[in-house]
Amino acid sequence: METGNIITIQNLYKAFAGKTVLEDINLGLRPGENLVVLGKSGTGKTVLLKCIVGLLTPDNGSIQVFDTNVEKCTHDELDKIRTRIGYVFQHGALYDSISLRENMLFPLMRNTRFFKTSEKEMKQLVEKNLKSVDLLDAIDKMPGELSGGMKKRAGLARALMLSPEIMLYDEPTSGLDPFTAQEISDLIMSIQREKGTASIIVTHDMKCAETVSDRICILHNGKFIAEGNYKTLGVSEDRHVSMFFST
Amino acid sequence: MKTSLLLKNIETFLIELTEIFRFIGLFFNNLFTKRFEFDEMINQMYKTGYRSFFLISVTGLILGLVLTLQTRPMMADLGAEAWLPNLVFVSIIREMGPVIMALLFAGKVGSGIGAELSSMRVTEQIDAMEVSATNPIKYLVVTRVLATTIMLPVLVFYADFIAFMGSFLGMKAYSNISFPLFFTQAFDGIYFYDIIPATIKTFFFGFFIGIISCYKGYYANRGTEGVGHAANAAVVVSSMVIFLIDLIAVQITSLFEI
Repeated sequence: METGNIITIQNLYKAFAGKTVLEDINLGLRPGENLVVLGKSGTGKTVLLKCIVGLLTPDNGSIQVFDTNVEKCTHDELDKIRTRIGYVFQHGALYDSISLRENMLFPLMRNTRFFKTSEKEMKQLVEKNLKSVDLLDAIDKMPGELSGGMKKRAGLARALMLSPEIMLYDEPTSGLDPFTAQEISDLIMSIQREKGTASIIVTHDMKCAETVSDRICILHNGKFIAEGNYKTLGVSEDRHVSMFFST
Repeated sequence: MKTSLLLKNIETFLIELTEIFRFIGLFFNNLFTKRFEFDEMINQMYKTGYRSFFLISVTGLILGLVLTLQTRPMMADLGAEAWLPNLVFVSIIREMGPVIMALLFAGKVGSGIGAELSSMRVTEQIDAMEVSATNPIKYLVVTRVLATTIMLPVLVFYADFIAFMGSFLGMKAYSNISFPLFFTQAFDGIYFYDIIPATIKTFFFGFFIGIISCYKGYYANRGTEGVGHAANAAVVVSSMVIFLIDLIAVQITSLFEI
């Protein structure tokens, strides 16, 4: 495995009720790159992301994030790592009992032990991040009042609140119309450009993969079967790889 | 075939029971660790307690009124009408108040907690909380369980008072009894040992309503179907546990001849 990676996954195994979901996964994420994990539904893409942030514990193998072993670290160490990672959930996962403003403030308010931010700075940060996803007008709306695309953008803005160094995107464009999907893809690119974050984007949307990827890994039946960039994989003769590019 | 099904059900029940005890352990473990979510607990006390006042008021009033109206003819036949306020009030304080209010509380608050947490689980809000470096057990479970444990006894006290007033209205409908006389007759045979065991058991009712509802919601799955199932299971299991605790409380008070 290459050194200098900010995420290094080695020989990762994960099974649920005897069914293997991830098998011998090896992966490295380089600083500043956008890595797309491409795979059909149910191939373990989300499980991979959840293992990286410690929401799921691997059955075997190791995951190193910022040189810390996620599955072996303490709760405090894990919390510290999590503040450096922004996770964008498939459906936004906004807390629906509080307003968008409170949703945005939540990560900051909960992590005052790591971040000393004044109330004024918090307010400014909320407005800045909501403006970056074009949702400033909806700041006092409840999540139930937002459309699917707005929820995704709001989830993305919330993930940016702690100025993360790594972004994890779980199906960022699924269920969206092509125009909104393109908006989200452009946002992912602008975040990489402006903040220099490294990202893992799991998706099966080829348009999104083409727009945002520096590198693509293809997951099939819980294993990585191919790696490369959009162009090199596009001419692959492997039928499991070519089926993505022929659609 | 039937035996294997029975064994399977027993196994499922025992696994569930173990999981609930593990969850209780998790609750106490998080209760006594650093960073207490005081603001969220106050918020939950408002939601579970204050927002239940109307329901508890109406039910308490009707409970006192109906109990008095139903019992009065019998007591009048026996010529013991003067004992009616005390009889009604003792039954409300010792049994009817705590159990009926706990059942109502399980229906209103327990189902709400079950539905809210399960919905948060299936829409990944609990995962989102965890990746924001927030301990969801501390933030969601400990605060809710403490809120139900503290607020149910308060609501039962309040319901007892409202039922007392309802009982007075019931008496007033058929006799010219004055409030001071009613008050004296009602409290004549009431002792601390009527109130203390009843109050202690309401704390247990509140605790178990909270813990069961949180458990059912927190570990919900199967999408939206799971939300309905969690809300339903929170009420059903809490109600059964209320009667179980009541039975144990009666045995304990009998043991001490209270």
